[in-house]
Amino acid sequence: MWRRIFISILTFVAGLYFFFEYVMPRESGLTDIMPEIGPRVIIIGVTAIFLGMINLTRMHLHKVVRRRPGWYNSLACIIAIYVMFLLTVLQYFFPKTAWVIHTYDTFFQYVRIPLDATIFSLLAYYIASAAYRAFRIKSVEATVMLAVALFVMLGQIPMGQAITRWLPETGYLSWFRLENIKLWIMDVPNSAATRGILFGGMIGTLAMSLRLWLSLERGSFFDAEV
Amino acid sequence: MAANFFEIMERLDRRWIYLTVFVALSIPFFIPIPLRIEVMPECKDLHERIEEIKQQNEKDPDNAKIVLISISWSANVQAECWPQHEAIAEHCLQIGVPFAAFSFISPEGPQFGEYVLDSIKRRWEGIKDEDFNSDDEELREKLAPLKRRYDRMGKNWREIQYGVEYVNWGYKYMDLAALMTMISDLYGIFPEDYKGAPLQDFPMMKQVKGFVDCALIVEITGSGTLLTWVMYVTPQSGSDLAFACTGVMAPEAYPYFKSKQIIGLLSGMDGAAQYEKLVGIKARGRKGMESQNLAHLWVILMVILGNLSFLYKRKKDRDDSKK
Repeated sequence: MWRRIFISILTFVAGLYFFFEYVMPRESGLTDIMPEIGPRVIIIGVTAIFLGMINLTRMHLHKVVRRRPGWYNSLACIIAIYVMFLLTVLQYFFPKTAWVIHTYDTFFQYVRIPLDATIFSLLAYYIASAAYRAFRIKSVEATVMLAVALFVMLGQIPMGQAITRWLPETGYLSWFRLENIKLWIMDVPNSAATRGILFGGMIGTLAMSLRLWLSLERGSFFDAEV
Repeated sequence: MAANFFEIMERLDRRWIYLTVFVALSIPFFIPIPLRIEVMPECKDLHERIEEIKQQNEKDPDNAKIVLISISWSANVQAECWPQHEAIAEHCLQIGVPFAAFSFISPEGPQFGEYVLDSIKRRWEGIKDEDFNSDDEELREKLAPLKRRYDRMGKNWREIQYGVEYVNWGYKYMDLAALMTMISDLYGIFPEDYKGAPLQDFPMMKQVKGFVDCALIVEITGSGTLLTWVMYVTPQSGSDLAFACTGVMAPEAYPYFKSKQIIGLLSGMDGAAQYEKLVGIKARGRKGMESQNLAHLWVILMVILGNLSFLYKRKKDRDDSKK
């Protein structure tokens, strides 16, 4: 109970500082304290990363020990975490040792980068398939969206832009060049919609921040012992 | 015949779509496609701003400013962010605007910063000194942007002087408080560069106290980091902000470009290709655009075919129900 009250007070005071630092003039001196706070916040963040690593290890180790379904994936995860962790630490302490540099680079360049890039690249295939299946002119709204998407896609690529390249580069007719149509769509309707979404999102963020600041937010661990 | 075709299209297995997209992406690896890249204002503005910084630094060398590249990208978005980073770094190196790189999102960022520079160096190795004054007018024209570096540095133009032209601050986990600290007190957060050398000792860092001394901050990212800079950092530091992001994130950034809160915007690989054109190189951006170009066209064609088969099916269903 007392720990919860302590955390609530600490959260409120910390929030109060950041609130006043933002709204008060520079002469208040609150901004001058910022260099003292920044490095300390880094320590909190790094501790959180370390805790996350311990937590991941516990969770996956538990799966491996109990031979839960897919335990081998957990084992691979543990090995991956600790091999890279160890290599990074070794590289820090022995920055000129050839085998350390070579092993780290091999893992980073030929395992980590291709894996990460490959997983993300799969999106292109899923998007193409999804566009084929879902982009259908089922209603007026869907038709408008499809038309806009086609203009933006064509305006984005040189082969699309080539369709209207015969139009002059300046003057009224240049407005109908595909790259300019795309720019107009992005600049005007898109900006208006994005602003609207952002305003809505920001009001939600403000409400959520207030709840967090005042410790009103009942998250997953509200009733758990902290 | 047409009926059969549309029925097949309607039932098309997704693996055929994957295969054809793969083919479309692969063709330019074997058959280069000449493309004319149109440079858009959002890209041109960024280029012009870096040129302005060069002029300002020449006028007032005692108060020289740097460009800061924030590497908030990693391997997953390297197809788009690497070429953006490479083109901007190449431009700074060509004209002699000192630039720093750091990361607060991606722990791998500083390493990618080094890989990008290695890539630039490798490309430069393929250029001979004689090429700058070649009789071939086309070649001379192509190398004209890089010649500015050759004219400035002479025979040593291929050497990137660490600490003079470029510094890698490294990566630190940080949130808003730390980032705001860096506005005026960089060395409180980054006392050393990514290799552990004292940051303040580097010649180009002598006049840099924090973000306030960065004339331009370029955020290269695949994440939603724009608001952090727009809301908290640049209004206080007074630096200009440019945003280079993945294609899917660009729509979110356009309102800020329109309101001049960001002075330049590179959108995905297309933005990188445009910048490469401005700095006279053909690197990953322009090469990658060939694949992206064909893939986009293919997706457009697939969407059109998908809709034709959908309309055909709808008509057929209506006709059947009337019967």
